[in-house]
Amino acid sequence: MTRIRVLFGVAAAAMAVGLWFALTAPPDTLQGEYSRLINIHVPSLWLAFLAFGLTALGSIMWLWKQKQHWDRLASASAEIGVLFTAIGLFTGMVWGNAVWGRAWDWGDPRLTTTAVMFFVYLGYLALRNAVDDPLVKARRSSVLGAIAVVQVPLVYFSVNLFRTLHQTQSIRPDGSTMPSEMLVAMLINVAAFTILYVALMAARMDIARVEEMSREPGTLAGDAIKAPKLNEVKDV
Amino acid sequence: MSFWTQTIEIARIDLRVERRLGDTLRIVLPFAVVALLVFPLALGIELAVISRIGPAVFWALGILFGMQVALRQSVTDSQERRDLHALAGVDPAARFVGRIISGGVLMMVFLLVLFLAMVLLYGPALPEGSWSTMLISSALFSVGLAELGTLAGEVTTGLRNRTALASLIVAPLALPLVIGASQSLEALSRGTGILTWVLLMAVTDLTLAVVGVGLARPLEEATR
Amino acid sequence: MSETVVVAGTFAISYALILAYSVYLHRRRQKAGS
Repeated sequence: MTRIRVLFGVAAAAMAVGLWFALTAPPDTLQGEYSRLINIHVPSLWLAFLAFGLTALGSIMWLWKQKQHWDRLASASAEIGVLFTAIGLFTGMVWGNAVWGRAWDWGDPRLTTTAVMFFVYLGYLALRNAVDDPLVKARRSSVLGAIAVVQVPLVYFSVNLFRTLHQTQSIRPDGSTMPSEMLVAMLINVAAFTILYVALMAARMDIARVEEMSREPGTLAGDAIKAPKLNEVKDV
Repeated sequence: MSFWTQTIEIARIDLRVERRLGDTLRIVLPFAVVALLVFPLALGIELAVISRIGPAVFWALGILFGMQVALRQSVTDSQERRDLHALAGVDPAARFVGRIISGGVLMMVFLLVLFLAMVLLYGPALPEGSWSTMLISSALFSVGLAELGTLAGEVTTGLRNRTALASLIVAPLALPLVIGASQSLEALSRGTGILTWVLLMAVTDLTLAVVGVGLARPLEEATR
Repeated sequence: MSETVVVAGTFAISYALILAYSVYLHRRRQKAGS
């Protein structure tokens, strides 16, 4: 438990430092104060993809090794991933609307893929929620995780193709016109958010472990067969 | 029984069950046609716009209602039936492929009838080669959606809210199919080739097939 | 809405969500551990 407290302490400090840099760095001349949003938007999306990758990894490793901690990794990462995907999409829409007049950009394959990922996470969590038994939960959601691993890159690829052929240039703001201090602030926040992710993961996986252990045991295989009472066996 | 014999047998039985008890063509298809009616009324009656959006609306409805075809009740296995399959030595991969075949066939029929209805109601200007393009993209779309639907259906077997949950799972992952199918028709109108889109769908279908067959055994265990 | 309000509001909402989730985890851990 203390390990988790320490992690949260470090994460809080890092986030505070990141926030300070985000609010004090000189803003971009064109975008003004809106450029500060890069300090939440980019780190959140970085985490969204990292979390997704770990959910995928956890799913495949569970299918392979059947060790429960892989399933905990996958599910914890999915839950945290939903949070940061939502924050990333939210900040992106605010930013896009403010700077470019449009909240959504159909030309950006990363944006659509992120939205798809969000719904894949939701489906994954909804699936887990519909099952009580941890083993069944792990089995089914790991299959979904494995399917998502191959499908999501295909989604990205197909939207990219769509964009290329429709010659829609992405309107998403990128960092290239920003003053270097803001970019440094962004990198500091990427680091801070990553530490936060580690802390949240540690906490969430710990919760999963404790909750699994305190469950009422379910039906064990072989329960239907009762051992014969020796004095009842007459004809063998 | 060999793998392919099992596969064909499962597909045959599936289709027979669907013919006798199923609601896919009896209910889902009419429902989709009703949806075709809703769009122009909701969008206003500018004829020029209606004829242009026809194919796009068709594919959008194709995916939304197609999912219901893929998740049809007739493929809901009771635990007894699954145990029977396991005891009889049915290869789970054969069941997967068999389901894809029956699902794909049903979907094709569904799509072709819906397409006809769309052509009649929306009067789109269809360029040269539209029908063959439609055939190819419908086939690939159907197979892919049947694959996703079967996988999602298996993963959600026996759970409450199964259809809704499975739809949530399928919908975002089916994007490459929607893009490939709708863009192939649009490519004809623009004069660019349809090969890219056909390949996109073919790759998606192949990938899902490999994943599905590979995960067939874990899935079998998962749904105990 | 002014630039500053929108940016400040977005920061506030985002960090509030993170904080809320952390608190939720803390409460859930306490409940699980008892």
